[in-house]
Amino acid sequence: MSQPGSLPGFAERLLLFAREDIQDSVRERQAHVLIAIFALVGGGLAYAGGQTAQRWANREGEFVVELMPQLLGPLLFLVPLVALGVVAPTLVEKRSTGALTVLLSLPFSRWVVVLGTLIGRTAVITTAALTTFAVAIPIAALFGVSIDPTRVAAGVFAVVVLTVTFTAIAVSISTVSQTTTRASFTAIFVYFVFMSQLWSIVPIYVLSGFQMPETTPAWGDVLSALNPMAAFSNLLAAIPELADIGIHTTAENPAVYEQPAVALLILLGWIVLPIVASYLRFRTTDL
Amino acid sequence: MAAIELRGVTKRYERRGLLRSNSVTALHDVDLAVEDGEIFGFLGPNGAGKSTAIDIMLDYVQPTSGAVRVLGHDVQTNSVNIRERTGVLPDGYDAVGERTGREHVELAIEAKGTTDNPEDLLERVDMLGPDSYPVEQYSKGMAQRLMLAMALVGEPDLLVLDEPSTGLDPNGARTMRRIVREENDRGATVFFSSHILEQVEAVCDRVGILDGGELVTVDSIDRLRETIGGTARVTLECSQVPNGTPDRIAAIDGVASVETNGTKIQVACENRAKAPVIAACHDSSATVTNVSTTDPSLEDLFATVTGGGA
Repeated sequence: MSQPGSLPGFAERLLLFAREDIQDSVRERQAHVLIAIFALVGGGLAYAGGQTAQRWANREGEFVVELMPQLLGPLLFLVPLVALGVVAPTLVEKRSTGALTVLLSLPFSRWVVVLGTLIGRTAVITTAALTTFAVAIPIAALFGVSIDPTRVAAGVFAVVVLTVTFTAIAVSISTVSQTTTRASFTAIFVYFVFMSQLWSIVPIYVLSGFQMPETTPAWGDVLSALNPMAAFSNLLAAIPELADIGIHTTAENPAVYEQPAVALLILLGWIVLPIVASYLRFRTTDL
Repeated sequence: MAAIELRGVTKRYERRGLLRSNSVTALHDVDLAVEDGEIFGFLGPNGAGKSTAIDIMLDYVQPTSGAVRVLGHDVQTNSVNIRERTGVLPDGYDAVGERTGREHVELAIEAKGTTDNPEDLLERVDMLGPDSYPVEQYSKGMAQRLMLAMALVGEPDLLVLDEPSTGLDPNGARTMRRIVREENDRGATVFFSSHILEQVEAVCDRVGILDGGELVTVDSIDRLRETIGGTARVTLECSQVPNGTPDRIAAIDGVASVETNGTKIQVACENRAKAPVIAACHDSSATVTNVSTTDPSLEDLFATVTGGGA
């Protein structure tokens, strides 16, 4: 009745797990809600951009309203928030309810569980985030907002990088948290730390003897550059049209650690290191 | 080869506090070997450490010390290989997302890469009707049946069932026992835990009794009965108790004690002495109106071994 022709390998099981994870999100209607949110945001922003464009069009002069800056600014806040808020409870919830007990009774390794969750949730959130563009572009075209294909491509790239980074951080939080509540609080805290300058200000303040130094020490600048949001701004600086969008101001003459290539490496680090570290911890954790 | 082998397995749960730390030893230096092809019952009162031991075998929980091999593989380094050939009915599980019963079985089939027909598996556990409902809405007994169907995927070499009869109605419990025997006849090793003795007695070749985190005994049920002083009890109701009959019964080899109470004669004896005792009464002048015999109670046995005697 059951002749196992060839057992599924690591890659097949990983894809199976990721696919099931995506289906989880679809069954719970989470994917629908996310897509709706981002579609609304995309539609709204494109429409607002269109209004501005038409107001300018009635006056004299050469004013162009460009779509990408309109979209990316708000997305920079929204994507990390959604990724952290929505993804942080996923794995820990499976663990606390006992669904993970069932999954781990099947031949899924714990590495497949962590990586599969990352792939599945990244797919869901990226799809939702890219809906913004899919909805915004036709509306923008309708209202005479300028759409530069190069900038759209750059914007898509930027959003994907941002989604993967924060989904990875969120999955890591979920992997090592003991309860859903703690995972959510950690995620909110992490969002706050990365979005504000707290990431670097607090250590600089503490290590300078509880006072703000007159000039920021060199290590403080390096620390600032390691903040994924700062790294993201530094990365965007490589794309002249999008350079001013990042929420962290970028230096006129970037130091080595502020170069876009290094910033990309820093972001990669934020994807790989938390995932690997949380897996190593999870590997020997009691369910 | 041993299907499951625990060597010196200890599990301590530590709780570190700022001021005070405490630790609970759930398992203490447990050695256990479950042979290939046997049905092994794992008994113990609540909190004896049964689930901890099973969780360690399944790599859900890390032992504090000791080594565990399942199907010849180390559980910590090779757990995927083990789970490819093992069917598990775990304890404390829950539905995976909002999947239906059938989707759960299909997930197991895909994960194991087998060609089982979900229909057949669901039919075997009598779950063909409700298989299209979300498992979240299942009762405990229905969920147990479904988990058993998932465990049967791919004709596993080893079945590990943690308290499989929990929540099952008598029919379900019978189905469970039948399936355990069928799987064993096919060649599978079956390891299951229970705190219900009748369940274990009905199907197991050998049992291990765990108490307070220590393995108290491992033996076949019959041998256990013998070791723990297997006294059966024969009660005879007669029209009257003739003189000399109690003495004659007491003289029979294997009889431990004889008591008379009105027209009742109560005899405590070994199993082999039961028939001679009844025959002795029958041969006397009295008319025997009723005979009842009881085996040494498993409850007594359990209580004796686990030190929880009344």
